[in-house]
Amino acid sequence: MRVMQRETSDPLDPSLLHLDFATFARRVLAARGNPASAGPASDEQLLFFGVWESEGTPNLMASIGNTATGQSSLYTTPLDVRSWRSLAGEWPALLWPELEVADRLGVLPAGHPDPHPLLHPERHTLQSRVTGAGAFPLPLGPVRADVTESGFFLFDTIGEQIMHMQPQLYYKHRDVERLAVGRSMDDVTLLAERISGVTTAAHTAAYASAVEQACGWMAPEPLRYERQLFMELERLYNHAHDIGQLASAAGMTVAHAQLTRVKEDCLRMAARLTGSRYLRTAVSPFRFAPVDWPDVRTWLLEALARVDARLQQFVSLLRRTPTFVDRLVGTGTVERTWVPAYGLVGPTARACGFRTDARLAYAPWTAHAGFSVAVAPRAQGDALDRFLVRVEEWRVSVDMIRWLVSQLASTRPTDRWTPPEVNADEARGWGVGTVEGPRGRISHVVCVERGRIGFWGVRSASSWIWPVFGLATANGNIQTDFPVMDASFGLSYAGTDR
Amino acid sequence: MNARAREGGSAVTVGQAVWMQGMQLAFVLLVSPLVKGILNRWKEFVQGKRGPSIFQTYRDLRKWFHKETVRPDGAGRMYRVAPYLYFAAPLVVAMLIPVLTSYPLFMAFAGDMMAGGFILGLGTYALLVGATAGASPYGGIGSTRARFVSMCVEPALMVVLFAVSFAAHATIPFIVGGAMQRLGWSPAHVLLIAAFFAILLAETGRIPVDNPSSHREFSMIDHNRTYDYSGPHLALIEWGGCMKLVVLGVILLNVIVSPWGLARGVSVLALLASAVRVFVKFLALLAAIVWVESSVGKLRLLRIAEFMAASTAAALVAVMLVAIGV
Repeated sequence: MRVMQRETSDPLDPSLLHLDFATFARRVLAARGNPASAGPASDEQLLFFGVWESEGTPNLMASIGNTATGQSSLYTTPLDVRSWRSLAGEWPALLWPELEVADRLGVLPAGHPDPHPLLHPERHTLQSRVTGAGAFPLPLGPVRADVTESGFFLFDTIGEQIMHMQPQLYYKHRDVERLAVGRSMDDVTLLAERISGVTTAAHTAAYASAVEQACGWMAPEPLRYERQLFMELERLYNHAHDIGQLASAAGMTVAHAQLTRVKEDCLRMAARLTGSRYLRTAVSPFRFAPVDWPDVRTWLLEALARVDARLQQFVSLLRRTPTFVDRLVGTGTVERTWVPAYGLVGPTARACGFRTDARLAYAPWTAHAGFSVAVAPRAQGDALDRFLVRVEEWRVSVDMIRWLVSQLASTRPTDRWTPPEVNADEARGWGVGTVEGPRGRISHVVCVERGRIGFWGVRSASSWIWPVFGLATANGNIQTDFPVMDASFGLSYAGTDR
Repeated sequence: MNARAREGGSAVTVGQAVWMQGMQLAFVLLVSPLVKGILNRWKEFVQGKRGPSIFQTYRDLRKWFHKETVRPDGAGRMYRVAPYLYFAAPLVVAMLIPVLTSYPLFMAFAGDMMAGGFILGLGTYALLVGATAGASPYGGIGSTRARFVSMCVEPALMVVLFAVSFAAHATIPFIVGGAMQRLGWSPAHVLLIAAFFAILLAETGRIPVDNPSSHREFSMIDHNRTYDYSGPHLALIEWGGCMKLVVLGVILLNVIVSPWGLARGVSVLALLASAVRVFVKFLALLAAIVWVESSVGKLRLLRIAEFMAASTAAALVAVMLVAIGV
């Protein structure tokens, strides 16, 4: 069955275009933004870049989304390992994706500016890059104090000044994408939920919409509302956590404790809604969550009002505390030119003044639900701007949840449609799902073959931002401000490592 | 100077002086973990948590004393000596200052406030050298940062001592206490109290200078120094830290503010009553520390210099006020 709907954000079945390498390279590089302008130079953005092994031969694959139409295209080119030329020199956003491909195939592209093993930290020791009198390499991680994921950072310092910083990730690399190959769509839902624990709903929603698109099926309105609600709830607890961590890094102990409480309340809301604190099982392809929305509405709105009041109270106290604001101003600044150069997404890009948000392009209907892009008015790209963007996004998300739950509660049970028969054994095709997670744009590329997953590509928001984290850290900052920078980015390790 | 002090003192036999000095030491030694415990509990209470028991510090110390000591390879002699020096320094200073009695005891004239500062500084210095002798790079980082903080604190401390000696014409703690009481709530006195309170916060690693409850090794100052230490050595360092807080608190409360509440008579009961009163004074100090720690954030490292400059300026104004006799 094929349902075409207008205002749809996910047009059906992106065709897979087979190109030669030169055309492929041209198409990919066309998605580069223009460093000179704040807005996107073109309507295109790179959603995914990776390797697709088809019948034993490797192919490069890229998915490019059009922000004007909300459509995604898939391009592929056979990869001749002998003549593979690196594009990262022309577009730094491809630095890490190309290294990932290189590690999977065991061949480096010619002319890669920074070749080193990425997926296997055990095979590679980062080398200090600053030499001379007073230069001192300082390692941090991969096991660190507090509850934190595994990542290794090598700082080159002169006194307190950070001169250079190299992050080393992939300690948690599980090769999730390849685990999925040959499994049923429902089994892979479980994998999608486990890509990153704090982005469960967003990753699963991206996966679900990719799979549904591949099967030629369009999610009805209530289902899209429901998924968006779960994703906004996920954004709430992530933002509460990140703002709380920022307060903690700046030594604001009371705000940290109270924002942790806000996060806990959000997690309990999630648990009461879906039975899972981290929203597992809430989203799955073709299916509604077993939530009785009219019944849920009253308490959900009350609980939401409570957490919102508490967060606003402490955020306003934080904004009026000079010692807190002073720690954030000019700390970990992301230069504006880095946003198009590295294809930055999410609050990190919006803190630099860029209006980039996947909801804008791929879920335009959210405008009715009260969505508006939160862009930092100062547009300095520092820790303060990332903080302000998150605060504004919290407000937007609360408004959206209010609207969404009212809509869902007023949907009569008869409208709540039973899943149409999707003949899973017959289903085949390609699909691209793109959503805005708490840290930015998340894209999944899926190929369904006779009801099973033939290919799965995942690009989480953090994987675009990580390469810039080292640059921003060394951007005129001192060591003691590193926790502030770390908390202000709030990046996910597991989502990048996969 | 000594003659004047002796006139004021009551006739105390050597035997009495020894057990009274013993009680002063016991107060610093035994009450200091409780002070830290109450501070931690109150801090968490203000955050909206229940907080650990006020006796948790004692339990931690007992636990560490029962653990083995792991020593990094190549750690030198200084590494082993440092915890003992850091532990001993506040105890020595405790004998120079009026912890419980308003009259001087037999060690009171062995050193003045300057000497007290130097002895505490020696303990801190030993820990810095010990930390650098370990294997962790964080020990070295913590040491350099702590050195930077000390460098900022020192001018403030010096000017406070100048102001005190201007006002009291002495630097012996017992005499200074009396002189400060006579100053009453004059502006110079209030400024001195504020200046010394800032010094106390910086020297004991509290917010806004350092965050004692942080887990982030990259921004720590004081706790970085103890990264390599374990077992009894760690216990000595932590205990020494508690005692340093109490000794500086005693100087602030009993010397800089006023010797109010200290024992005048020579009896165990009088000293015990005095201990209770000093403890109550400490509760007020802890409330002030909790208030500061809960309402401001940790400063940027380089802003610590500005914070201590403010303290120095306050002390300087106090010097001028005392000099012109306001």
